Amino acid sequence: MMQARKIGNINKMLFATLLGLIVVFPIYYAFAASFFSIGEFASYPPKLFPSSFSPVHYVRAVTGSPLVRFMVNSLIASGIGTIIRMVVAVLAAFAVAFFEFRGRRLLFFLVLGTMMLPADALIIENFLAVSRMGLVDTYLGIISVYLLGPVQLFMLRQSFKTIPKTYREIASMDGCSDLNFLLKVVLPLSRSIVLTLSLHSFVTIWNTYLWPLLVTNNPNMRTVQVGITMLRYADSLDFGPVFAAITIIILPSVVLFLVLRKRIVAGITSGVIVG
Amino acid sequence: MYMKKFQFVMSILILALCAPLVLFSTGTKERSVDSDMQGQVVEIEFWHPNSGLLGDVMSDLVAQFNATVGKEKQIVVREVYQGKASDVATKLRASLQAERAQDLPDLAQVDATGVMDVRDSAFMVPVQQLVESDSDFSLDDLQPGTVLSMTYKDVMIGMPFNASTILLYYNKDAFREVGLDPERPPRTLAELADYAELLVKTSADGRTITRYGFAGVPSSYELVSWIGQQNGVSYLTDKRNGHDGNPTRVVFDTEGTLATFLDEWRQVYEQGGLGNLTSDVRQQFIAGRTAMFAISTSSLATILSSVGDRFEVGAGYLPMVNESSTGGVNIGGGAIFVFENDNDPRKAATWEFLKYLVSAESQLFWHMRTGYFPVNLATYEMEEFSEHLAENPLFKVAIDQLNDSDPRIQSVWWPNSYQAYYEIQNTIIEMLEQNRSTDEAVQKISNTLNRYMDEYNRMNR
Repeated sequence: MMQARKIGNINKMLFATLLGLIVVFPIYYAFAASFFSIGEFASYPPKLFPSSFSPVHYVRAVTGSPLVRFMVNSLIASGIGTIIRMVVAVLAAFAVAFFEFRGRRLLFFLVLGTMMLPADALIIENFLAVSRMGLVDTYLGIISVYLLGPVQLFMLRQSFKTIPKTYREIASMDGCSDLNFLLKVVLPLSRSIVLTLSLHSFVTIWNTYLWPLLVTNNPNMRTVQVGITMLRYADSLDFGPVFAAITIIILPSVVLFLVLRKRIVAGITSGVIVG
Repeated sequence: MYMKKFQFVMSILILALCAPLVLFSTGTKERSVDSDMQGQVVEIEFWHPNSGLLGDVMSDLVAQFNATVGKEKQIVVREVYQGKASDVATKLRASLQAERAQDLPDLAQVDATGVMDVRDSAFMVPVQQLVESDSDFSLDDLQPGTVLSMTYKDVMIGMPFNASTILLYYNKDAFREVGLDPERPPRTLAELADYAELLVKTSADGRTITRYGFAGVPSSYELVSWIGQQNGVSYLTDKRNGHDGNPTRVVFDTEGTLATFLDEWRQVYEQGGLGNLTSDVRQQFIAGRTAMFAISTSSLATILSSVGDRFEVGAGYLPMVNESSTGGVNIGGGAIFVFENDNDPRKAATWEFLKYLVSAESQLFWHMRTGYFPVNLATYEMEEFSEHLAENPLFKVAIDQLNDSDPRIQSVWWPNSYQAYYEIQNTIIEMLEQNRSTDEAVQKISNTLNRYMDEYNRMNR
């Protein structure tokens, strides 16, 4: 009996390790490839380990394009975009989950309906709207399409709905206002989901390419994903600087994840409602 | 404890509310014009898709212009990298559809797939108009094939700039290894089949192929030449491949040109040396995994530098479909288009820049650094050019092939060009690997492409 369970555990661990390796491999490869020479890219069978660790590609990545400026732009767009998006989503989800008012369902489904339209189908229309508002080449222009996040709204509403409505009644009996109830009861209970969604949102905005490219003309307003393609040369095997830049721009997401990871896990356990 | 958290959340809220104010102020356009020159200087904007090495060369050309002719004539060119060629087209399309002239650049470099997006627009200024307004410049100064490649309804609409043709690349060491003459690449597809059969190499256990004789699957890019060169000159569609107006149907089915090609191509496959690879073919060639392949002449410089001294690279004319297909190859690549955006009156400054880009000296510089061939005939007369060809005999092959080709063979301007590209490739793979009949493949390709054109014409009537 014990033995069977042990074998089961080992199998699970092996499976988890395998999954982990599959997920980590592209990141590892990008890192390793940032040290490859042109010859190593062309070699067959493909190489997995660089023969030397010379930072030459990193130097070229940073000097070959205004990568630092692009990082700042991306940080501003992803950071502020995520904050506004989460604030809007939390308030909206709170309203939909706890309040009764006319048109509540209709509003909710209207917002969800925007999820059904593929972003690619809207990109030209969005561009026209943003350019008519004179927001081309502004951070707000880049962020504008991310301010309302129906996915975040939906996930938060589902999470808020697991909190019994009686909590609100008890809280209001103790003289707690709605905003206080949101900040002191709902948010602490939903910490893990809020942090997870924020992280996801940050990474998504950080990774977009076509939209920031469309709404910016000024090279100083470009974001990192656009910056990477500047290093690319279609007719060349010279991928080193591209992989070096990729390694650099993955960093903020990784750091953010490492910082938030403990809090997310802690949130999962502390959010458990007993009874 | 709670108070602290409350303060934190509130400060984020306030930050979020104030953010837009900050955001508006940061994004103002930077106009770098010396104050004492203000008022007279014309600033023009140029969108292009050149990144990496090409991007460096383009930046050098723009900087040279700004420092010389631009300084003298009070013109500043601002180059804007706009992503891949298809991204440039997407961005132009957005502004053109919105009819927002103020969002348009003065010039943009567009490839063949993007021409469909700009050629019928009222905002496009045909470059021929600018050429004709300048008595110092004539269309006869330009390589005739490149002029025809950008001619739509008898007017040259864009200035040919990054012109290239398809070229056969081969591994001379592999040729020597199997006893082929390394100085004599295959001339016809029948010869290509024989060569590839000799060059193909399998692993010791005979199960995997370690080197193909020839690798690649023909797409619309190859067909423009392989169909174009038959019966003197042939086209894929009516209206001369869309250069006389929107094409309405394919003609390679009724003229039999596609069937002729496919029969020859099937032979290459059946003799065993052909690998149906659709991506990374160049890497495979550089890694020695295929002995021959065909790609744009613009890749020559990078292939040479990537291969280094691992083996000797050879270049040859694209093999003819059969002995009677003598038309040669078409000119592909891109061109620079001019747009009316209420910026530069009558496009005088824009024309100065365009003229600079295609001047004999700029074209020599562009050719030597990138491998695109010069569009200005005067470049071919320059001493530096002859010296360059003497030192780089493979570049000479590319230029000779260009001069031996019929300039009337043209790239195809049709709707859904990306889908058409893959439709042709997929059908050819299917025909070879599932042994379908040639007629069936011709029918399938024709039906799909005719449908694309029908739909496009119905929507754009």
